[in-house]
Amino acid sequence: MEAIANKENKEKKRKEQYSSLSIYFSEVDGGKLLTKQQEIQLAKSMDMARYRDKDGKTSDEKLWKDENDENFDVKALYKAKKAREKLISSNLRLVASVAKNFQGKGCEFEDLIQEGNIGLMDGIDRFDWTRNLKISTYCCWWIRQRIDRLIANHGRTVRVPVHVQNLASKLRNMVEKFNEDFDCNPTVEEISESLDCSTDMAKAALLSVISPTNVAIDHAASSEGDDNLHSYIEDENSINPLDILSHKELVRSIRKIIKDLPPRDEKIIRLRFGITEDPKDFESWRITEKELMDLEARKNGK
Amino acid sequence: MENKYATLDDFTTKGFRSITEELKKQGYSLTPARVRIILMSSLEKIVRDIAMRYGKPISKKSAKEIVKHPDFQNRIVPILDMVYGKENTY
Repeated sequence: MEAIANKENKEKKRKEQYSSLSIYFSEVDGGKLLTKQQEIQLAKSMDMARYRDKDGKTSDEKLWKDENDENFDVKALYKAKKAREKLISSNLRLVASVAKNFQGKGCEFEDLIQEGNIGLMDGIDRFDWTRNLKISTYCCWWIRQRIDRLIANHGRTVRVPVHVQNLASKLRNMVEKFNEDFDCNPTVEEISESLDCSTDMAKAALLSVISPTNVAIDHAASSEGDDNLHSYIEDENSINPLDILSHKELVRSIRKIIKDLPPRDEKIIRLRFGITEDPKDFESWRITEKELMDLEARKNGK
Repeated sequence: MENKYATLDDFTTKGFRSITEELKKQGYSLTPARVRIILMSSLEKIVRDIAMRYGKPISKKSAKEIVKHPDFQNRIVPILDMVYGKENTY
């Protein structure tokens, strides 16, 4: 019992000591690499139980033969599944080595390995031993493709479609070449013509090249001062102070005009537009000193 | 507004006839037609003066057309409310 407890404690300590990634690597490194002959043998055993349609083609949806298919053999299926497992576990190191090249592109290394492993499985399921290739040669592309797609879809906070990213990488090359040849930057029209795409697409690709990273809205707007970026974003619901000012100015102008009207005319306007109450006092309306002087001058007939 | 001119139902207003009666009580002797002419010319003054203040002077004819327009008559109501201090939207 004590021996078991000690073993468990050691295991716990080991897990605490190392991260999940280092444990994964220690487990992966244990397996031996397969020779080309071994790989072909395992692939052949996989092929025995692999589903093929009438034309002899494999299917993406269905990997293994089932009871309804001709020449179904349970033993062969078991052997094939074991062979697949063996092929996968022996090539896990390949995934880690490919994933290393994609580090620092916005995705965690663990995620890259996870996705690469799925790519490896895809590759092994599609591997054709008659082509006389090593599994590592064939699967490398599948692993790269899966990791590439993961980075394209999750590498940025705001997702940029894969075709735009491809266009952006073409654009980078094109701009470099253009700079070398003509010693100036190309226009949007030149870019769209050279990449054979619309001007809108060229603009979108340019934007994704120019601003590859996102900035948080709470990010300081400048090195000095405490204001954030959101203090510079317009609130479309708020009323523009200039509008308020011009509205007040308008009211003030109309007040002045009405004040100058004969009392009878002013009364007609009020009655017509439903203002039944008499204004308390025209004096209560804001009158500037200049206006007062004007009024007095008019009163005196000047 | 549906008939492309402002009607009494669009806002709480008084007709020219009742305005005439109201003014008669206060000692003014006017006909409804005269009341209408006075109202239009007062509004014209307002429109021309405002246009002048904004640096876009308009002719008497244009001012007349503006004043007659139901949109103008509808929109002047809240402004007049503010002028008379009945309402303050800001």
